[in-house]
Amino acid sequence: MDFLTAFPYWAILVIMIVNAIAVQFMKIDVQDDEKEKEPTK
Amino acid sequence: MNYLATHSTVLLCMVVYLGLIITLGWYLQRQSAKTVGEYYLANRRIPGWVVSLAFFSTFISTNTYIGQAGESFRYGLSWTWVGLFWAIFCVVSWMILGPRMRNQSIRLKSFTVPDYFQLRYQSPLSRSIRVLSAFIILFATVWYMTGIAKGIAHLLQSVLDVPYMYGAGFMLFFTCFYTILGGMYGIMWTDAVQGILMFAVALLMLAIPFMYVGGYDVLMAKIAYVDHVSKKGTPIGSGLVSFGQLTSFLYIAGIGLSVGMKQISEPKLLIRFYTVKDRKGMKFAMTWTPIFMGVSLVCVMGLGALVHAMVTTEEAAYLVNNTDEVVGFMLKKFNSPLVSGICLMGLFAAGMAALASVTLVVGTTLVKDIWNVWRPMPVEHIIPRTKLVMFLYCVLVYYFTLFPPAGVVELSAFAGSVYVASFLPTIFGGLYFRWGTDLGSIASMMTGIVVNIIWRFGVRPNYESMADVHEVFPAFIASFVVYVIASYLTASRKPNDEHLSVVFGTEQLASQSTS
Repeated sequence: MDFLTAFPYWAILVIMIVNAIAVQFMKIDVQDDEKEKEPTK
Repeated sequence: MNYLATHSTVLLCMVVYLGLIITLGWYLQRQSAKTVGEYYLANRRIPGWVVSLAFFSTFISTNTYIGQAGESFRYGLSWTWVGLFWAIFCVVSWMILGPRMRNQSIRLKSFTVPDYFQLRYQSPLSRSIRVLSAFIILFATVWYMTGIAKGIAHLLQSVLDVPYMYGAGFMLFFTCFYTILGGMYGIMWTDAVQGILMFAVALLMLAIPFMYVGGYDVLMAKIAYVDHVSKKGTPIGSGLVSFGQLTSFLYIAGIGLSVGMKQISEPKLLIRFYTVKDRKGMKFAMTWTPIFMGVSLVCVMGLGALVHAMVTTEEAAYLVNNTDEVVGFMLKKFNSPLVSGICLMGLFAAGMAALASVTLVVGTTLVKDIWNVWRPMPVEHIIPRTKLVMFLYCVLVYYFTLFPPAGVVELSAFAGSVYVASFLPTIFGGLYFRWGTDLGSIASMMTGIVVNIIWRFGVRPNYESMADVHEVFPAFIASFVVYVIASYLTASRKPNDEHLSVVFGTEQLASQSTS
C-alpha cells in the first residue's frame, strides 16, 4: 500500500486524538434552557 | 419449511433486534408525545452520550455501510479518503456549530431548522425563507431515503432471499411505525442503541475478509495485485492499493465533501444539537462523536477493496458494476448464519436510525413549516398531522425505491450536495455573521439548488471533462458568494440591534455593562 493510500487511516486516528485533547481544554458555553411555552405557530 | 431451516439463525437475530426496537419504541412512547416540544425536541433533555451515539448512527446510514463500503470494491482503498473528509467535518460540526446552534435555538425558541431561519433573519421575507427551506428539505430527503431503502432491500435480497420490493417496503414502513410511536425522544434513544450495535458491527465486518482468507498478510498479498477487471473493463492490477489509480481524487473529494459537509448543514443532524441537555453532555458529545465516527469509517470505507480477496474473477466482474451488493455478497460468501445475522442487525440499525430521523424531520417540516404557516392550526392538531404526513411521505419514498434513479452513493451524495449548497451559507451566516440578511439567505438558497440541478443533470452527463467534478463544488461556491454579495447589497435589511443581541446572546452583557 502506498503512502497516500494509507494516509487517511492514520489521519483519522490523529484527528480523533487531537480533537479529544482540544475539547478538554476548550471553554464550552452552553446556556440553560428555560421552560418552553407551547407554540402555536 | 426449507426456507426457515436455511435462514433460521439470521431470522432469529432479526426477530430479536426488531423486537427490541419495538419494545423500546413502545416504552418511550409514553414519555414522548404530550406536547409539541416533547415530540419534536424531547424537551432538550437528552444526555450527551445518547446525542453522540444518535448523531453517529444518524449520519452513518446504510449509505455508508453498504453503499460506500461497496464503492471501494470499484475504487480500492483510496476510497478511505472519503472517510477522512467525513471525520474532519464531524469535528468541525461539533466544534463550530454544536454549542452555538443549541444556544441560539433556545434564545429564539426554535423547534426546527426552517423556523430557525425565520426567527434568525426576522423580516417580512423571513417566512418565505422558512417555507423555501422546508421545500428544499422535502426535495433532498426523498433521494436520501430512497438510497437507504434501496441499500437495505438489496441486502435482504442477498442474505435472506427477500424480493426487493418487499424488503424495501418492510424497511420503510417498519421504521415509519416506530418513528410515529416515539417522536424525538424515542428516536434519540433507539438511535443510541442502534449506534452501539453499528459500532460493533463495523468492527465485525472488517474482520470478515481477514478471517475468510486466513489473516492480514495473506489478504494484503491477495489484493496487492488482482486479475479482476475495473468498471471500464481494464485490468485492476495493483490499483486497489495504489492511490488514485482507479478513480480521480477530484471524484473522491466530491463525494467526501458533499456527504461529509451534510454534518454542518443537514437538518436531521443539526436538530441533534437542539436536544443536548447541558454543558457536560455537550463536552462528551464533542469528544466522542468523532471517535465513534472515525473508528467506524476506518473499518468500512475500504471494506469493498478487501472483498476482492474473497471473490473469483467472474464474481468480481459482476460486483464491480453492482457495488451496492458487495456487502451482502460478502456475508453470503462467508457463510456463517450467526455472523450474517449479527451484521444484518447492525446494517438494519444503520438504515433505520437514519430513516427514522429524516422521517421525523420531514413530518415536522411539512406540518410546522409549511402547513401551519399556510393555515395555522390548533396545537392539538400538530402531532396527529405530523404522524399522518410522515406516513404519506414514506409511501412516496417507497414509489421511488421501486424505480430508483441512481445507485445508493450517488443518491446520497446528490441529497447532501443540495443541503450543503442551499443551507450552509444561511446557517453559518446566521450563527456567526451579524450582517447576514434575509435577501442574502433566500438568494443563496435558490442559487444553491439551481446550480446543483443544472450541474448534475446538464453539465456532468454532457461534458466528459466535468464528469468527475461533483455538483457540490460549483453549487456551494456560488451560493456562498451570492450570500455575501446579496447581504452586502441589502445591508439595510439586517435585523435590528435589539433582535441581534438576543440572537447572539449579548443582551445580558449589554444590560450588565449599563447597570
